[in-house]
Amino acid sequence: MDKRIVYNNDEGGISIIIPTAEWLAEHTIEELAQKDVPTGKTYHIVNVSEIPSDRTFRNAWEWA
Amino acid sequence: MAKIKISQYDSVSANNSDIDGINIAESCPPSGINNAIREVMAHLKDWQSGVSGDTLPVASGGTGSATASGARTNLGLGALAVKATVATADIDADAVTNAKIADDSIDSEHYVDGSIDTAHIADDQITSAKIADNAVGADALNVSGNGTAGQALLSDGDGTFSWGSSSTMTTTTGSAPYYGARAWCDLDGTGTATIDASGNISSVTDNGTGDYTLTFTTAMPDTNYTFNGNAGYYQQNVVNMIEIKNGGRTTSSVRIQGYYTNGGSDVATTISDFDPISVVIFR
Repeated sequence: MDKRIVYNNDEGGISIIIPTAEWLAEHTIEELAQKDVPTGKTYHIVNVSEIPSDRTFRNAWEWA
Repeated sequence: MAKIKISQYDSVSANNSDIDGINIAESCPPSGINNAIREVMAHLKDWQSGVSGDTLPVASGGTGSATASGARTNLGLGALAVKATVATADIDADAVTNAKIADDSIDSEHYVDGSIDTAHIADDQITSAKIADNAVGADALNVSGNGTAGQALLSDGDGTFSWGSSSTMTTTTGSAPYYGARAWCDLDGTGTATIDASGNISSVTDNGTGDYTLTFTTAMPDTNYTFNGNAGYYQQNVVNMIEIKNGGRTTSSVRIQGYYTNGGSDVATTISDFDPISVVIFR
């Protein structure tokens, strides 16, 4: 579970999809993106290390 | 030598000087002619009835033999010449193709017990409609014995089953039915957000502070499911809450938001991340 899926949401921020272990036991994160990313959204699969752990300004996060 | 049957006749007329000892040579006595003709007719009858032992060659349209097996041999039927029936040993392996078997011509009486192995049953060929009621016993599931009251069939993890008591089977009091959770999740909404454990949840989407979407692996039958959630741990004079966001309840996911409010006269709510966030869905 060292991967995350990131996409720009409709509220001006970014959403980060965290896969469950049960999903990854039988599927890939790419398959998860196909299933859980809203239709039409461009997404990026990133390492969890790229996600900030300080959430003080979480709602201000942007995808660069 | 007297010519006593047709095969002894000669194709050269001058060589046919007698019939069965009756003189028909040149300048023979007229008194023997009628006997000679009758003898010829007798020879023809003996040939037609097979009494004479004479045969008609294959080249002339016959079989060249006075016996059935000899005829089959002369006609080039090989090993089958001496066979009254065709034994299975005389049929080459794979010689009888499906095209040579008429539709519906092989009934169940002609299958030897144990002759059809699993390799000859196509995938998904045997449907439940072809399995008689009570036809599949526990022994067919590699289950030994009948178990005891209250036991359940448990998977051995290798395709076989055994009787046992399952920790997942809940004993209830009374006759009210028991409904299990359709989805659940325990997550840490702080930091990079992580999922500690889940059931029927494919992912949790971190949408922002205290804002999470739990997506079901298998969708709910409708949106009339119940939701129960817990946010964080007890703090004196602080109430933590986790609720469904407006419009956040769909068959495929539920979007929740965590917040807290201080006690006393302060009723303002503050959206916040929590650890843990525990959610259970019933339907």
